[in-house]
Amino acid sequence: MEESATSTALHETCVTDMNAPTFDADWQRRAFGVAVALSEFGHYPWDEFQHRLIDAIGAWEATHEAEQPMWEYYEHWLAALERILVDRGLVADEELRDLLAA
Amino acid sequence: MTVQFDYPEDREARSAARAHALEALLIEKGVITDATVDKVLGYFENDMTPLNGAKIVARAWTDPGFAERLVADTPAAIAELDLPVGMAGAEGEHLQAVANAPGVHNLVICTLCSCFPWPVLGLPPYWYKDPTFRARAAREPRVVLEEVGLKLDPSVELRVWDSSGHSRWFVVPQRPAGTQEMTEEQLAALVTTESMIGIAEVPSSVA
Repeated sequence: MEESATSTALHETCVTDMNAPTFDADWQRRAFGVAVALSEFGHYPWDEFQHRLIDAIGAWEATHEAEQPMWEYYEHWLAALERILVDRGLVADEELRDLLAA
Repeated sequence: MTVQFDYPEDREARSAARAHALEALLIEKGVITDATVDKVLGYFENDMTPLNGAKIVARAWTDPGFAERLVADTPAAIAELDLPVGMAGAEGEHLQAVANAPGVHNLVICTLCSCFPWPVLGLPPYWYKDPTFRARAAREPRVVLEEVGLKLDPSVELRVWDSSGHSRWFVVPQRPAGTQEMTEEQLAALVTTESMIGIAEVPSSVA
């Protein structure tokens, strides 16, 4: 497969490394764990998180290609987590803003 | 590579800082504890793994009655086996098995995000979440399968299952030829995650 990633080239792990690790970095693992733990302990039904994840990914896919940031699944995951925390009142808007500004 | 306006290292550092700060805030506010998160992660990393799926498939291969029940009512059939007890957030109640058969091959994808049958297959591999795979596997599944090394005969019907929050599909692959003498345990060792997603067949011996 050619290195120049055309829009049709499959990710190289799909053909070369079937058992690629699921998390590339610890923050991805923590973000995953936090989102699932909050659902597990009743803070929201899982599908509410899922809808926000679908929205975040959909927004990325709808972005014009030239302006599209590189694909990073867990950035969408993190965005969905921030959204649901605010929507559910678990974190206030200002708290989230302070967090992002820090 | 496409043009990037951010340096990936910066983005990576920013995301890491955001994720860790968010978790710290939730702990500080008493919404969760770090032990809660560790427990959930441990569950995913130690208990909900493809070993569960492999045991289910091996049972289906050796017990035709179980194979029928597995497709008819997947959660009930799985409950017959001695597997780790599921947790509510793991979506085990939405599991649905589809069985390959001579002339029929099944492929599981998730076009919208990355729904996956966690309790039986663990966490999805990286490529399952890749936007190109998700789009192309829906549009031209036969071509994609051939690119990853599975060439289906044109006479084989290919069924593509798009996962959602309410249906988390997994594939019961066909038992490979030449495995009549194997025990259920030996059979389970042959079953790969890829074969239960439907992008590969099960080899007749462990690689």
